[in-house]
Amino acid sequence: MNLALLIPLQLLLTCALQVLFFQNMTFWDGWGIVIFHVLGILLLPLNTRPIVLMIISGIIGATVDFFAFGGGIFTSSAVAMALVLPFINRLLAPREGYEVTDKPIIQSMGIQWFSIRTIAALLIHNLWMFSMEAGRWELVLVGWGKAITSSLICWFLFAITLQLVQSKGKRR
Amino acid sequence: MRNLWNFIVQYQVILVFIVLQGFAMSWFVSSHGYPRGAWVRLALDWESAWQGQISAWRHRAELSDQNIQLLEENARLRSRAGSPSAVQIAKRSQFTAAEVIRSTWTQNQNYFILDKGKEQGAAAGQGVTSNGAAIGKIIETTDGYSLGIPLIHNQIDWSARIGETGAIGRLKWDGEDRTLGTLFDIPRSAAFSPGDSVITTGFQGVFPPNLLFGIVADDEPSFDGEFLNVPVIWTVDFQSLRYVQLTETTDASQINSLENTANQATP
Repeated sequence: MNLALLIPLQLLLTCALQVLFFQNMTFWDGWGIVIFHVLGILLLPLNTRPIVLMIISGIIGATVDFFAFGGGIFTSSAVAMALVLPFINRLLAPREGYEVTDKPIIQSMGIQWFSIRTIAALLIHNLWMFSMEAGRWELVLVGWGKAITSSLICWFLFAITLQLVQSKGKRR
Repeated sequence: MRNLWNFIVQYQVILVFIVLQGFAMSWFVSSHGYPRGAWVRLALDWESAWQGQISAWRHRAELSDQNIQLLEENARLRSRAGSPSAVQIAKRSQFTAAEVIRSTWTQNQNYFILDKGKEQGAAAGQGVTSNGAAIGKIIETTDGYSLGIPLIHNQIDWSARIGETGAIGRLKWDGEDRTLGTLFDIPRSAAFSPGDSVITTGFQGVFPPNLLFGIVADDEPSFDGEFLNVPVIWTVDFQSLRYVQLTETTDASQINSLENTANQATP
């Protein structure tokens, strides 16, 4: 599929799934929260300019906030993640740098690269989000615990989703 | 301008981050109960502290205004009523409040400038008092300001009396100690003691009678032939002068005309 069409479609789809489906799902008494729209941001091309990445993340976060009554919490977290994501990409870059054809998916970069990048990005997003949500020091530690468990669940869900989608694509 | 543009370009990511976070945070604070409460409390604290500070500043400014109003009222009251001597003063005088905006006290010929001029009724020859004590007179006026000379001016004589019925003499400053003047030409027979009031006679037409210049000092008077030179402690500290009153002798013109008649009649 054309990249110019695929990227908006990915963003729209992950956003829609978060708003319509995952926002209503909370596992283990709040210790497992899925933030699926982050997948759309993580799937943006590796050579995306940081400022564009941040603006797109802001828009995605604001859209989720708007429909899920998040009140700015997803916007703030997504923007915080988008600030750090280029640094994570740079840290994980191969010695010779990224190829033009490299995509931020398991098949292109491998499960290890994908897992570290996704967990790091999710941790930043979720730590920011749960810290804001906690709002006071006595709840922050619980919030951080939830951020870690939720990040792991999201990583697992993202990996499965990508594997399913990509294997289907391959069959075609 | 170019530097600003370079700065924006260089830190564009951080600037966009700040803007987006600002937007998100304001949305968050306005829509969440706890942060809104915390923010409202914080804002209330800051607001209260700031308002308190403003109020303190305003209060200070108002105090100054109130002080001027009180002085004016005081001047009006002095013009109307009071003790028997004040009644006597009031009959022939009007008081106008003024503020000293510049003054000297370290020279031999000191001066002060008041914030009232011709437009406010100030005129050369008017006396200047502070809390009922005589302190000087106006010698020059402009539309909005007036120049005066205080008692601590070594070229001016003031007509003074010891007590309400005591001897009359010339009060003068020698240019040395700014807390002390000397009352000249007091007869040796005059009865007085340290602490007695030295007051205006009203003869010069500058002050109404019975305004305080100072008190007789403890120092021994010096002999000058048949007369005594009596040291006088000024009532007023000239270094800290600020709010004063201008005294206008209302019937000065009548007195002056009589004086002129007397001068013409004298062969």
